[in-house]
Amino acid sequence: MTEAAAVAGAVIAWFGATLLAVADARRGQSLGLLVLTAGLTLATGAAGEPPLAVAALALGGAAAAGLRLRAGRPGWGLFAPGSTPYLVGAIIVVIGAVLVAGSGLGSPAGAARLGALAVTALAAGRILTVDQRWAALGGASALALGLGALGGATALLAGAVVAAGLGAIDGDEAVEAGG
Amino acid sequence: MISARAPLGRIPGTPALLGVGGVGAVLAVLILAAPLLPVAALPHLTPAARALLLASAAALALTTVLAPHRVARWELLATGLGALGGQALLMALTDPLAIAAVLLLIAFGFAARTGARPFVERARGPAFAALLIGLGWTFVQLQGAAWVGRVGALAIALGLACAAGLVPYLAAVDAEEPASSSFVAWTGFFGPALAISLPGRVLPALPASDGAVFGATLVGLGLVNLAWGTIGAWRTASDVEAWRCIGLFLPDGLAASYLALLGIVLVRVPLYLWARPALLGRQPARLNALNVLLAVLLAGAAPFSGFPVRLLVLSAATQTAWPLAIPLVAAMLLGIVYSVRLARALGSHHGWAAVGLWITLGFGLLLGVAPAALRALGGM
Repeated sequence: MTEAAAVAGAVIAWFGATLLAVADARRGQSLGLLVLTAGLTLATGAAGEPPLAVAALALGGAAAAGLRLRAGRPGWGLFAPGSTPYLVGAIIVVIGAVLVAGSGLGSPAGAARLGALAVTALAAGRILTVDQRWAALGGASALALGLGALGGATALLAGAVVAAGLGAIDGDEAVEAGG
Repeated sequence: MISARAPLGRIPGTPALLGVGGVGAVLAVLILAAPLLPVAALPHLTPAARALLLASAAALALTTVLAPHRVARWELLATGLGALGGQALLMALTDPLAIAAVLLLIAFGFAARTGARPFVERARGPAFAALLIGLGWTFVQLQGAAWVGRVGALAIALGLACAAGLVPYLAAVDAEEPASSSFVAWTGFFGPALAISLPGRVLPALPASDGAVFGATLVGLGLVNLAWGTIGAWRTASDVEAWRCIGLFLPDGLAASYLALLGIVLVRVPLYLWARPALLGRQPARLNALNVLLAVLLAGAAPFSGFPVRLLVLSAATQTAWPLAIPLVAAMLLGIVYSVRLARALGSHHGWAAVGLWITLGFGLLLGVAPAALRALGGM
């Protein structure tokens, strides 16, 4: 049962990270963050991480998703033209993660790690390829959540606090232009 | 003429900056005082990390009070206190994944400061470093094939170099950028913090073969960096670029790296701040008596800070493989050439600014004549 929950959480987290990667507007990005947070929460919870740390991860991810609605292009912007490389990247990431850490798939912890690895790689890809401040910040929140979900209680707490903290940074491009 | 950019209250984001400074100060004090407090959950610093944090606090006090500035001193103080808190947290955390996450927050917060370079460009390097450290640590922990662990060790070492601002995103140094958001401030505060704490957290968990990959990568990067830094500082047409090239120095040997990192924090970063008026063309470059002494300091000659570092590096190199000493000696000799150029770029200072330069020189002398005491302070 816990194995199935962890695998389902990993798949949901990967799907959320893919949504984040192909989102070209604020609502799509927040939806991606929410979905990947739900997936990581389910997977890490099933993997037996301390409930308080898992709850903190969920809160941190939800806060980051909410705060990211403040800046960026209006609308959903999902699967806009130019999304194909991200979709291909999302599939390659899964293959790479299974090659490296697939041997642990039989255990809930291994499945949770696989989901977190996929989120981490896709979020980093997002940061390294975008030019917009709000998009980079969304990717950074996802990266923090992914890094947190790769570890134990301390990493989960740190990831949650950092994701929410990154949400507090203003993503408005005008801040930079004016600055 | 150096003047404050704007009075308190008119700068956008003033409350946030004051908040960051306050939180940073509280964090730094709490972590520093953790051994004296009856709270077991507080993270503790190693002796070397504590020495580096104290050195950073001294450098911050020195530059805030005495260095010539274009930004208001309170703004520099608030930013510096925030950086001190971040540095303390990076060095106190024991979980590399938590370190990577916190590095991400610090990097994006730092990139959000006003600067000439775009936000995303400034955040990209540390984000890549966080990715490398996180993935590397996960790979090391996996019970899989041996190559996965080695790739993990390699990724952590590359992540460390990336966080220090080396590969693959070597940032441009813009003289017009405020000191508090300059790339030099990043390499002066957060690079040394990670360099002093991360290997200590990672190495004990690595098997011998992975540890060898980690160490060899750092030694290789250190050699490349030394050669690149020396030739870069010598050949570059820009004095600002020359200042960037000297700060990034990862020598072999734990004690040497510890002393070198103290030297970066206490000597090199303050000197860069003093050089800014001349680099910005607001003061003529000049070589007076004090600058000649500073040239000797920057050349790494006795009795100043670079000398024991060079001795330790050569000692470690000859113990490992003596041919390593040949390029090291060549790079050290080349360093003498650019030290005069850098000292000249410091210009001429009077009043309190000159006092600050003498104090920096004193720090360099202290590091040079009392390396044993400083090593004892750092537990080495």
